[in-house]
Amino acid sequence: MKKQGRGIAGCMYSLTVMNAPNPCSAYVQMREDGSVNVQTGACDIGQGSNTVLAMMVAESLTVPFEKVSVYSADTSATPYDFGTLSSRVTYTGGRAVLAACEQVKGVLLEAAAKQLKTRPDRLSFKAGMIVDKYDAQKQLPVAAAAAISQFVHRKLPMGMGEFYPFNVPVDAQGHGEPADSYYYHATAVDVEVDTDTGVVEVKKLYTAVDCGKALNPMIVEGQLEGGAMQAVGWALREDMYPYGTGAEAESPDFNPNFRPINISDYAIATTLDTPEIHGAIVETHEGEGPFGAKAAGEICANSAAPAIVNAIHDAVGIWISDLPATPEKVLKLLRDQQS
Amino acid sequence: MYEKETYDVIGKSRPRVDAVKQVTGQVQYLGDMHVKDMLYAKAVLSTEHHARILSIDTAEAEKLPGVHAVVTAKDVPHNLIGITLDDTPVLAEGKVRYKGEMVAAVAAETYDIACRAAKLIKVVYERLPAVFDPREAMKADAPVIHDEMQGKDYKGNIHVVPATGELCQKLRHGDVEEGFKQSDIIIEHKFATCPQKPLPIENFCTLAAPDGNDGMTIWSTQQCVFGNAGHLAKVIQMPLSKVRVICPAMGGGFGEKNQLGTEPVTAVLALKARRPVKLELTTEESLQFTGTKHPMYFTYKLGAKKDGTLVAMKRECITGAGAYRSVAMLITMKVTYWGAGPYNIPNQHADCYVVATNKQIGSAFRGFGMAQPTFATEVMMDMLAEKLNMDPLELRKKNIYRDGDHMATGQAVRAAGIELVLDAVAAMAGWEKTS
Repeated sequence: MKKQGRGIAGCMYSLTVMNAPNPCSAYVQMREDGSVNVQTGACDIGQGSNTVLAMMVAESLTVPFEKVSVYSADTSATPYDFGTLSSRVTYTGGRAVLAACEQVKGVLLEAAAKQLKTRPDRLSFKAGMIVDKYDAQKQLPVAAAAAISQFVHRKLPMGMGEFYPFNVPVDAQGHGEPADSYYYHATAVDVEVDTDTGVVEVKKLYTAVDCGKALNPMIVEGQLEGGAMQAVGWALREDMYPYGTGAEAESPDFNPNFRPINISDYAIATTLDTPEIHGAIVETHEGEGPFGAKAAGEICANSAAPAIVNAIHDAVGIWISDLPATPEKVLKLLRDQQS
Repeated sequence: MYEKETYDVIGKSRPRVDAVKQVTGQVQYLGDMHVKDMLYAKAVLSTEHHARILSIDTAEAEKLPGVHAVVTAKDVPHNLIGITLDDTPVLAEGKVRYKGEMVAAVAAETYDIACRAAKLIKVVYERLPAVFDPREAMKADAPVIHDEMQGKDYKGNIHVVPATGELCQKLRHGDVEEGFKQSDIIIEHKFATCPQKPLPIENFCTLAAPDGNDGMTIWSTQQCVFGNAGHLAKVIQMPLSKVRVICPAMGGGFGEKNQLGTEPVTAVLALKARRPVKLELTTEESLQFTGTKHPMYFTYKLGAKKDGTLVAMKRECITGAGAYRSVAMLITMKVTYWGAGPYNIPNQHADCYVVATNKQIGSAFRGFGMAQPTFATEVMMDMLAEKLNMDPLELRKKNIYRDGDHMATGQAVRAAGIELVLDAVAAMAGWEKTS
């Protein structure tokens, strides 16, 4: 018989590395045609940091996104970054590139002021132009300011930025301020449990993340969906030692040698296991984050597993205490429940 | 910081900068990369969970035409490395501590020759009793995995906490026993989580190329190029300024590539062969050699008032580190500080242990250290809701962090989005009260 249930769960996650200094740095240089080179040690591992950092630079310098190129993750050619980990690149890398952009803007304003015969403090950046706030006649394209600065005023429009996230290391009792900021996630699921086979199917999955300001919503959605699928796999099937934990050490099934060594044995959740996913981006405002952003990467994998286990309980009344909730475990608990 | 009233670029969806190149197959990944005079490498992995290495015979492999270098632990200039403890050999020395550990490696003219040479390496093991469950590994009669590091770093299989010298990391907040006295209802439960594999679509791959005699350029699938450049410089005993680490286009990592994988052994092969060497793991090798999500074993006790107000939570966590420490101490810190979830619980107590086992090494994995306690805490919340006959969402919302609250660490909460995300999923799901 197939029985339906639903469950919910929420969670919190820290941004930036705990307790330790973990800076990011960046060089930004505008070329004479208004294009921009950005160098940073932060690796784009597929999550899209080169894209998001370029967006931030484009926004800051009011140049088209297409004119920004990010070069990253080369210890001899890019400045230091602690690593793509701990949900830290958007937040820490963003602050570093934006600090560098402020210096570039300072150089451009100086050049533009000389050219327009005005003062830098009267000028502001507006959609690719540097404009005198009190005299709209006086304006200059950002790219022209870059060329004039470089060739006429002998000053390269470049800057370097760094950012150390805040933390106060904890004491032996666990008291302190171990990470700079926190973000939040919740999942609700509808599951179907087959009481004859023990198979649990996630039918619908609702996932929401508080990522601060969503800098590129498409990338956040990707994180929501990818995270959900890794959690579905963890909750229901993926285990590198399926017969190798001590819980089964006394059972005849105990066999640590049975370890999946290929993807045919290690049944990662695939598109065939994908539920109908509904995602929501919730924006809070993180005052310390770049443009108010926090992070989106890691947390999206964290609250679906308990939501699924809670939904299994709602459906058939059993509590799964050890992951994954394999058909064998579900059937055993259902039988224990009857006897 | 840097907020504007309106944005031109920020907040608008756009494809990745390299999207077109990606979908048209024009991105060069490390597996596609070849440099002049490049050799191909193959590693020999341990076939035992826990064993003494009696001998490694490489003579036949070295004689095979086309083989340029065969390396074992004795060829590694500095063999023991680590993140918070230097306990991890580049190549196993004296003992193997998990099935899949790297024991030797070869570099040859072709991948085929390298594979044949690797098969000719004869390793003789003396099998030792192995332990897979950290709860078993904590017992006095369990086989000791790091027998030569006892005292300051390990007590039996329990990792000593570097900062305090104690056997567990601790969180103390309020008075947990008093909290249970004040509770109307107390529930207790145990949980266990399994080691999941990060399994990025691209396996670990490294290309190490010597620069003359005194430098090395290392292209690698590596999330943490700067931090690991330091470890690599130490392994090959070169100044940091002579070791260049580059992360090319990368097919995901999910945390498993925060730690070193194929880099150290490839660099050592390149050093010995004096030629560029590439080592790309197969999926079969990757599944055995690289990290997994840490299995964790929890004991929970939760006390609450009849109206659902949380009063006290006591947690014990036992983290299965696998054979070497790697990031296990750091991951367990997260469990210690924040494992109770985004809830105001005035009295808390947590003891979190890190224990070595003969499983493969635990690595960072998306959700680092919080997926496991989130599972346990969030199921506890539903168990409590059932006992109190309360709606699980209502129980959560009664206790969640709001701006200005303080975490158990003492840190103030700001930009708390937990209520918003719970409301968002409840709205999408059409959540109706169950009580």
